[in-house]
Amino acid sequence: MDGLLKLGIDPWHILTYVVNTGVLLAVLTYVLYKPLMKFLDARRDQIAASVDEARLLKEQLDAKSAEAQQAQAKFEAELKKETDNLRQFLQDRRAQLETEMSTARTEMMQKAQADIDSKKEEMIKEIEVTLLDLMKKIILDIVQHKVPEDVVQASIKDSWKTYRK
Amino acid sequence: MLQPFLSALLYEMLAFMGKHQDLFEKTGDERMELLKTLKVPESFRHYLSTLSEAHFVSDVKLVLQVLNGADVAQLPVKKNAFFTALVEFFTGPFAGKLDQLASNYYLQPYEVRGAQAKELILGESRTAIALHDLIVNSSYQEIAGTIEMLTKAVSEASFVLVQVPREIDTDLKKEMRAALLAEYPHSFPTFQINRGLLGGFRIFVNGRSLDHSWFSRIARLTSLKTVS
Repeated sequence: MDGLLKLGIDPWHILTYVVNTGVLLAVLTYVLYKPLMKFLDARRDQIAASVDEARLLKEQLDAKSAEAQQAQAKFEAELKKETDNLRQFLQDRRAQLETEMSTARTEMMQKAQADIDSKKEEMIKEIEVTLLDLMKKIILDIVQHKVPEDVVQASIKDSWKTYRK
Repeated sequence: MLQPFLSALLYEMLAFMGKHQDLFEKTGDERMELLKTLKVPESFRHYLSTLSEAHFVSDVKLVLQVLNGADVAQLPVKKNAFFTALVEFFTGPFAGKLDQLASNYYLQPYEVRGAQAKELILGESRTAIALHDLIVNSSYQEIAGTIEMLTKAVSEASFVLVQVPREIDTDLKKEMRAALLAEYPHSFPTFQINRGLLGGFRIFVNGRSLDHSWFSRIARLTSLKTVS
């Protein structure tokens, strides 16, 4: 013991230091270490919970995503079907319209041709009537003014001979 | 219009019978021989040669009714022998005389018509004078209308109208009349000038047209039916 004292080391002091350190450790443990650990546990649990929640959310998201993809695929299929139907309908309608247009055009052309023919016939008849009227006037004028009297007399005799036959 | 002629005719016949009261007792040939001296148209001589006294008296009554103003169409003259003889005379010899008149005859002065009629109707008998006066005092339309009425009433003869573009010569007119008379007995073909015919002629028989005119030929020639 004296040797320690000669070296300047007081065992009591050491003991005090030990006790103080112990006390300090005890206090620190009680005041600092435990709340810190508790805090850390809580934090760890929170993180774990967050991780679990994130995983759950991810699973849900995946599920939703899959569902959405499925829905989208279904929608796309339906859309494609509708589009095909629409295209088919449009093609049918177009074909129908083309047929109707063709029929209408044919009828219109036939009617127009009939009108043209009718007008043409009327014009020809009018021309014929005019021409014949003119011919008649010319012939009548010639016969009335240019035929000698004896020819007229002969015509009566000839007609009488024809009548008697 | 017929009354003067009928009166003259009846007078001549009755006067003749006054001289030959036994006429109806004779045979046909004897009667014809005797009737040669009677100055009436031939158809009446033939009429008297075939008739009985009773029929003659009956016919005289009819003629007297006409002379008294009765309408011939209202009397029972259909197929009557006297009126048939009258129709035969008017549609035959008398019509032939009318045809000999020029187309402008009816436009001539009275004196000229009288002179021409005298050349046409020879003789001085009452019937000849009556016919002369008939031709001088009546128009062609009046004479034709009276004869047509008579033929219609007596024998329901056809109405025949002949249209020609110019005045035709007497021979052709005579030929046409004879042929038409044979075709349509007791008819009185009336000749009419229609310059519009241009040539040939046209005949209407009871409204039906038999067209042989140049005009109709030209019309046929220039009609649409011919063309089409």
